[in-house]
Amino acid sequence: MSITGNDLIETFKVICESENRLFIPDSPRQDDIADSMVKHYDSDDLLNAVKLYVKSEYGPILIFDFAIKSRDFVDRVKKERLSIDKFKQTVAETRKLIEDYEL
Amino acid sequence: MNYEMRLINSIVESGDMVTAVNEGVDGVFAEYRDIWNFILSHYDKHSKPPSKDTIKSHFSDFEFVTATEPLTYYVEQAKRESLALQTRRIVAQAHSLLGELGPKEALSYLMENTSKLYKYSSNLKDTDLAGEWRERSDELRERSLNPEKDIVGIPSGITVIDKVFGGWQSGDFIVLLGWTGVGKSFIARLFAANAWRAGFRPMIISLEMNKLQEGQRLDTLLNNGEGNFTNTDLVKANAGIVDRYASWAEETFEGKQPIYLITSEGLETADQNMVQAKIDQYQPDMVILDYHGLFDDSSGAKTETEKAKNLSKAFKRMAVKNGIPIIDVAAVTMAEGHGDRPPELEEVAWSKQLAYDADLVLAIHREYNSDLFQVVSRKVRRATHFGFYLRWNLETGKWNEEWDLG
Repeated sequence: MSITGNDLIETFKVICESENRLFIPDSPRQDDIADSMVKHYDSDDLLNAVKLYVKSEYGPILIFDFAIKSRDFVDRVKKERLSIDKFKQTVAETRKLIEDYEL
Repeated sequence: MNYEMRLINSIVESGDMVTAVNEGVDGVFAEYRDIWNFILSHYDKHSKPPSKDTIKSHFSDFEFVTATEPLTYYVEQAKRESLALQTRRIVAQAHSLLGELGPKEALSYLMENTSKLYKYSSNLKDTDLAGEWRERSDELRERSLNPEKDIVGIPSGITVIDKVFGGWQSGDFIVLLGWTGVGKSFIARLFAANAWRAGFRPMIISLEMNKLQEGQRLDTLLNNGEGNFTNTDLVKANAGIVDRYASWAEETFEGKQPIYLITSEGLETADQNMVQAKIDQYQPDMVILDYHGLFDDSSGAKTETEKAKNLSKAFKRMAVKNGIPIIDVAAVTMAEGHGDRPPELEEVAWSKQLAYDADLVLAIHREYNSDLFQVVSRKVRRATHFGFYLRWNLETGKWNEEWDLG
């Protein structure tokens, strides 16, 4: 899935509303920042990083603030994803191991 | 004549410092400690113990005698007499504390010091692996004839742990890791219940729950969804199931081996010495410690991480020394925004020590209010990594391994 900078801004607004956080509009600066981020990061990782960021910030939310910390949040999201994928893979390998054992 | 003096004479005459040090004679010296330190320091510098003349020139009062027996004879004698002396001192001090401060303080002192003394009195076990090949061959033959040959230790009840890891073996230190509130204690009790069903005597040291709660949890587990009662029936004392419970309990427990439970009610200190004392008291087949963070460290750690490390090392040694598996439940501090997944090893503050000590680290996770437990190994000493799901109804106690989540 690929998203636009505008999609990212809209996502911010929706998540801030659902998490009861104050979103501060910051146009036109946020438009360029959002465009730059969607080009730079994988879309799924970026959207998950936004969710994580908004949940962990209790003050007002600015897209500029997120951009500064985005590398850290995207890395954390990637690490979570890798850990979950690795777990599923380990379970699948264990299942095969047990089946082979029982044959 | 003093046993320390006889031992020093024998060491100097034989010149066999290697045997003396390997036999751990360092612990027996008290009165002649200064001479022993002098001998050690001389040996470090010159690779041989000092002559009698050299010792005499530094310690003119020291008396020399002829040692007629081999060095090991004097080592054994000195160890025995030193142990007797130290035991007498501990008992005398405990007796004095009993009068001055009361029974709790006296008992606490006794437990701490007898445990230290026990550690000192037992040697590391030395083995010649080449010379003992026949024992291993016989053991292998005996095991190959056993239909349950995949399990060398106590069965966990979980297929992969028993078939691939070989169950809980003598000296195993197993750590159950998970974020708070995911059900680590449930899994630990499941292992205890399965071991008990297989005829073993588990001992649970629970610093988290009281006797009543532990009993209800274990009853529900052993009930295993047979429909006799639910956990809520036990918690709320449902009058409708009392008779059913009584007949189930009689059939389940009457005439069976014990399940030892030690709770923190009335315990002032729960440290490694207390764990060792309870092992000495009950001689269980396996031990469950719940949970790591609630234990005190008798070696005087200054930080939580240091405490966790010290306890980890102590529990591993205890498992090996007593020849029993020890299962340790440990909570991982929840990081901001961690995912719904089992924790990784590096997310534990004392992960390096854990990596050294543990034979198996199982990371456990359960999504909020889910009945599906995710279990995955994070460190395995004698098998490949494994992972599995447990579908578990905590209300009825019914559980089963699950592979296909559809």
